[in-house]
Amino acid sequence: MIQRIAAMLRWAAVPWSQLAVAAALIGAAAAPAVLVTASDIWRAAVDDDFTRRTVATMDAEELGVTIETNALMHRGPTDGADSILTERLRAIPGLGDPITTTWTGRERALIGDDLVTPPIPVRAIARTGALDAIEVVASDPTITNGVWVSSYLADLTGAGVGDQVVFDSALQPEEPGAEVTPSGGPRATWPIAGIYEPLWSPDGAPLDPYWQDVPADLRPIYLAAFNGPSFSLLLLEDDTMRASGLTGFMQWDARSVDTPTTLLELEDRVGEYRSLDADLTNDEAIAAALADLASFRPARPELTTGTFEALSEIRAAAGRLAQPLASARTGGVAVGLAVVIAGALFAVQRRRIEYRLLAGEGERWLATSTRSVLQLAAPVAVGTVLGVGLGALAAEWIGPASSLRFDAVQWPDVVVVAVFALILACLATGLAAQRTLDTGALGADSTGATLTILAVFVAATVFLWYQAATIPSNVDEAVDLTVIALPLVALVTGIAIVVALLGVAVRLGRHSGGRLPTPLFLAWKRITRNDTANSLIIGSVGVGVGLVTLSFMLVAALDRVGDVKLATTVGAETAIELVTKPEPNEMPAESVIVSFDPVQFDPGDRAGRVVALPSDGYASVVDWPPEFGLSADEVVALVHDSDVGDSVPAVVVAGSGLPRTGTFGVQRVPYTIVGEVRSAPLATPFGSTMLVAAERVNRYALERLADALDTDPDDPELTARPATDGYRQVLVSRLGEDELTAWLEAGVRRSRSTISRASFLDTIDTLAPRIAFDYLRILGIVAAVAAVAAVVLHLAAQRKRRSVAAAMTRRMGLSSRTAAAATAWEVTAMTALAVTTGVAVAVLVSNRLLPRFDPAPDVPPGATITVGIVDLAAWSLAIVAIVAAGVWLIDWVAARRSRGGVDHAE
Amino acid sequence: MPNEPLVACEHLVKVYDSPTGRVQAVRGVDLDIHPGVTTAIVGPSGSGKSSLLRMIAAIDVPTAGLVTVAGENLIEMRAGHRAHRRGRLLTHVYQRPSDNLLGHLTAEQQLLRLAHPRRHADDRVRSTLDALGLGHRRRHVPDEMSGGEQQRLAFARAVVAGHRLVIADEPTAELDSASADTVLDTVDALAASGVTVLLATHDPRVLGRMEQVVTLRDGAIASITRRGTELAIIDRSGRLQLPPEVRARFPDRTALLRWDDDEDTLRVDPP
Repeated sequence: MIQRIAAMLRWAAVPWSQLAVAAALIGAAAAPAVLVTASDIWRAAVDDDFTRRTVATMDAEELGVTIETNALMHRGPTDGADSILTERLRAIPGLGDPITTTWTGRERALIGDDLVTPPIPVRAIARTGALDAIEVVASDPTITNGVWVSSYLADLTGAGVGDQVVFDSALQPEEPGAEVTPSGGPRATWPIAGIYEPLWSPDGAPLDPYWQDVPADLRPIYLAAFNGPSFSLLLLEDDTMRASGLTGFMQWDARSVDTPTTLLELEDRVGEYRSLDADLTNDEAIAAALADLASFRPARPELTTGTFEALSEIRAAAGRLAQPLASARTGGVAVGLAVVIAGALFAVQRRRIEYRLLAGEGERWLATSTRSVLQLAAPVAVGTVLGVGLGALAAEWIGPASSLRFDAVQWPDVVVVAVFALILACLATGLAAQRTLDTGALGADSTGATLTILAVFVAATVFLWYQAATIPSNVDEAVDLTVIALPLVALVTGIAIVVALLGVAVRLGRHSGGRLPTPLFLAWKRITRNDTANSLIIGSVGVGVGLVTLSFMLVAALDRVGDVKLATTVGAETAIELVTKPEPNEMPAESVIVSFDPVQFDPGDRAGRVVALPSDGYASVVDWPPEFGLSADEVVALVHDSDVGDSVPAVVVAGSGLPRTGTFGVQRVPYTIVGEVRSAPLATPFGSTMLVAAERVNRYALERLADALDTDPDDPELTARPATDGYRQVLVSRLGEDELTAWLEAGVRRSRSTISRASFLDTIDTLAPRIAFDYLRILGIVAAVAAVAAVVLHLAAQRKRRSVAAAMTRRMGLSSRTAAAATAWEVTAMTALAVTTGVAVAVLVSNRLLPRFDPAPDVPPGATITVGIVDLAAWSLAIVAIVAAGVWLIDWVAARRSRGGVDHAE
Repeated sequence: MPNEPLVACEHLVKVYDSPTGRVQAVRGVDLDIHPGVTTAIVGPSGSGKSSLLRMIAAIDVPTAGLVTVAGENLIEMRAGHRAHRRGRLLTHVYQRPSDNLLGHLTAEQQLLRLAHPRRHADDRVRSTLDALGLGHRRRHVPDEMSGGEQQRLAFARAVVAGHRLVIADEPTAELDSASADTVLDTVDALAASGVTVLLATHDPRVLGRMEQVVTLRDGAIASITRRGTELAIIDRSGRLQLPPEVRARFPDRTALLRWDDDEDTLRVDPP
C-alpha cells in the first residue's frame, strides 16, 4: 500500500521534474485566471468609479440619514424614542453623532410683559447643540425652563428677558390691546431666558454653519414687505420642550462623516439604512417607542436619505456596462481555456513516450484523463493563484483599478474556471495520449479534416463579419459576443489561411534556397518543414499580436472619434447657446460667438443650417481636427476673402448635395460654394450645413437694406443690428463649464443650453466600449505572452530534437553563431509572418467594428480608423526585433552551454 | 506447428499520403504467424517492416486487407475496445529501452501494474524478475538500470500480463552485444513459455536465433526462411512465389507443376 501511495506521489510529481512542462502547465492555467480576475476587478473598479463620481455631488446630509415623525411632547415617550433611535443611528458605521430636533407646528404666541400685542407666528424648537450656536444678546442664567427669542421678536414685541411667552395653537388675532382668551387647547407658558441675534440673514445665509442643516420647515422666509421673517423660532432646551405637552415633530439627523468610496461601501451603507427603515415598523422596541410618541395622528416615521436614489443611478449605469464586460469576459475565458488545452497538449508532446506506452498497453483515453487529474491539479492550482495575482496587477496597471483589489474577485468563479480548466486539460491529455500511439493513422484523412475546419472558420468569419454590421440602438449593447468573437475567429481564420498557403509554399519551395547564405538556407529548410509547431507559433503570435493591435487601435479610434464628434457638437471645451448676444467687451476670454440659423437652401428646397463664423478668434478658439479637412484658418480665409461677386462665399460640409450657387434663408442670400469640409463645429446632423462669414452675410444684408432705403450702408443706424444677430448665438469657448456658468451669473445672462466636452466624455455611451476594449487588451497581452512562451518552449523542444543534427553540422564546420543565426532567422520569419497577418486582420476587423461604437453616428464625420502605417510598421518591427533578439540570445547561450551535450551526441 | 495462426495477414496494403505524393509502404502481404514461433521481419529501410508491425499491433489502419490477432480483428473494433483488447493481447517493445518503461516506477512496479490476473501478482512478478536475472533490480527505477536490463524488463511485461504476442521493433539496435545476447535469451525464454515473438531487426545475431525470418522488399514479402530453409510462398489466391535463385532457372517465367502422390510432393520443373 505504501509503495502504491509512493508510486502515486511519484506519478503526481512527474510534471515538476521537467521545467518546460511545469512552466507550460502553470502558465496555461494562469491564463483564464488572469482574465476572470481582471474582469471582476475591472467591473468593480468601474462600479467604484461611478460611485465616486456620484458621491462627489452629494453632501454629508444627503449621504446621511434622517428620520422624522410626529410627536406628542411628553417626557417619557420623547426620551424613550430619542434614546432608542439615537443608539440605533450610532450603530451605523460612517455616521456622525445624530442630532435630535423637536419642534412644533407653526403656531402663535403672546409675548411680552403685558401679553397685549397681537399673537406672533412662531415655531418652538429644541435641537441638540442649538443654544451653543447662537449669538446671545441678553440672558438671565437664573431662569430655568425658559425660552430664547430672537432680537427681531424682542424688538417687535418689546419683550425682554424674564417676560412671559404664551404658546397656544388656538390663539386667534385680536384687536391690539384686547384681552386674549385662552383656547383651552395645548398651551405652554415659558419665561424668556435669553435673546439671540437672528439666525439667518435676510438673503438666507446662516450666521452659524450649524443652522445650515436644520429641517427646511424651520427656516423662515424673509418677507421684504414686513421687513422680517415669515415666523420666529422660539429656542428651548430639550427638557423644556419635552415637558411641554405640545404636539409637534421629532427628527433625527445623522450626517455622514465617512464618505463611501466604493460601490460595496455604499451598498453596505444603504443596507444599514434599509435595515433601519424596516426596523422603524418591524422592530418591536422601536415601533413601540414611536407609537408612544403618537400625538394628533398615528406615528408615521419616515426615513429619508439621498443614498437610495444615488445607488439606483449607480447600479443602472453599472448595469449598462455589465453586458459589454460579460461579453469580453466570456471571450477572454474561452481564449484562456484554449491556452490551457494548448498547454496540456504541449505537456503530452513533451512526455509522449510515457503516454504512448500507456496507450499501447490499452489504457483508454478516459482512464488517462482521470489519472491526469492527479498530475495536473497542482500545476493548475499554482497557475490559478499566479493568474489571480497577475489579473489583479493587470487591472491596476492597464485597467481602471487604483489598487490591488482582491476583495472584488469573485472567488467561486475563479474556482469554477480553474476546475473547468483542469477538466479540459485532463480531457485534452487523455485524447492527445491516444494520438501519441495512433499518430495520424487511425484518424480521418487529415488534409480533408483541416480543409473542413478551415471552411468552418471561414464561414464563421463571414457570418460574424456581416453580423458586426448590425448596429444596435443602444451603445451598451454594441459590445456583445459578436464583437469579441469576430476578432478571435477572424484572426484564427486569417492565420489558418496563411499556414495553408505556407503549405503550398512548402511544395513549391522545399527544393529551393540552395544559393542562400548558410543561416538563411537552414532557416528556410526548417520553415518549409511545415510542421505543427511552426503553425502553432505563427498562430499564437498572430492571435496575440492581432488582439493587442486591435484593442489599441479601437481604444485610440474611440478616443479620436469622441474628439472629432465633440469638435462638431461642442466646437471647443464648452458651448452655450445664449438668449442674447453679449457685447464684445463682455465676452469671456478664449471665446467666440458662432451664429447659426436653420434655413432652406434653393434651388432644391433643402433644409439645413447656415453657420456664420466670426473673422477674429474663430480659428484659435475652435477645435478643428484634421478629419474635418482643410484647416480652420483656411476655411475662415475662404469664407471671408473669396471674391465671388455679389454672393456670399460659402464652405459646405460634405454630403450636403447643394449646388455650387444658390440662395439661403428668407432673405434669399446668394451664395457661391468655394470649398468643402467633412465637418465643422455646429454642423447639423440633420440636413445640409454651410459655413459663411458673419461679416459677409451682414454686409450683404446691409447693402440690400440700404438699397431698399436708399441710404448709405455704413449708416450707424443700419449697422447697429447686424443680420446675424437674429441668428441663434452660441458662445464657443475654451473655458470650462464652471467658469462660464460664473460668467453667466455675474452678468445675469440667460442661456438656452450648455454642452461641454467633460460631460460628454463621462457618458456611459463613450465609456462602455472603451472599457470593454481596454479589457480586451489584457486578453491580447495574455495571448502575446502565451505566444512568447510557445516560442521559447518550441526552441527548447527543438534543441533536444536537433542535438544529433547539430552535432553533425558542427562537425561539418557550422559555428554556434551560425546555428543561432539560423534559428533567429527561422523564428523571425515566422514571427514576421504572424505579426503581419495579425496586424492586417486587426486593421480590417477594427474598421468593421468601429461604426458600432460611434457615440453619435448622425454627427459628421463618420467614424473611421486612420491607420498609421508608420506606427503599425514600427510596432510590428519592434515585436519581430524583440523576438528575434531574444531567440538569438537564448539559442546562442544555450548552444555554448550545451557544448558538452552536443559532444555526447557526436 | 499448430494449424491456427496467432497472427494472420491477408493481402495487407498500406498507402501513406506525403507532401511528395502517395507512398505504398506495404503491398499485399499475406503472412501467418503461429503461436510460440519467434519471427523476425527483415528488410532494408523503407521496405515496410515498421508499417507491417504497426498494422499487426493495431496502431495503424491497413489501406486494404485484413489482419487478425488470436482471431480478433482489432482494427474493426471501436477505439476504446481496440485499446482494451490490444492491452490484453500483446506487448509492444520499442527500439529505445527507455521508451518501454515509465520513468518514475521501480522494476517491480512496472510489472505489478500490468499483472493479469491480479491474484498472486506479487509472487509472479518476483519470480519473473528472478527468472530474467533482474531480481536485484526490483526496487530500481529505469534510470538506475542498464539498457539491456531495461529491455529485458520490457519483454518481461508480456509474461506477467499474460500476453500471447510480443511485437518488438529492433529491440537490440541500441544495445551492446552482451546486452543484446541477454535480451535474446529473454526472447528464447518467452518463446519457450509459449509467447509468440514478432520482431523487426537488422541484427544478424537476432536472425540466427529466430525460428522464422520474413524478408520484405519494397513492401512485399520477398522470402520466408524457416529454420534455415528458404520457402517458396503461395499466396491466398494460390499464386506461387519462388525464391530469386530458383526463379532464375525459369527464364521464360513458366513452369511445369506436377503433384507426386507417392512422395506427397509438388514438383516444379522447366517446361
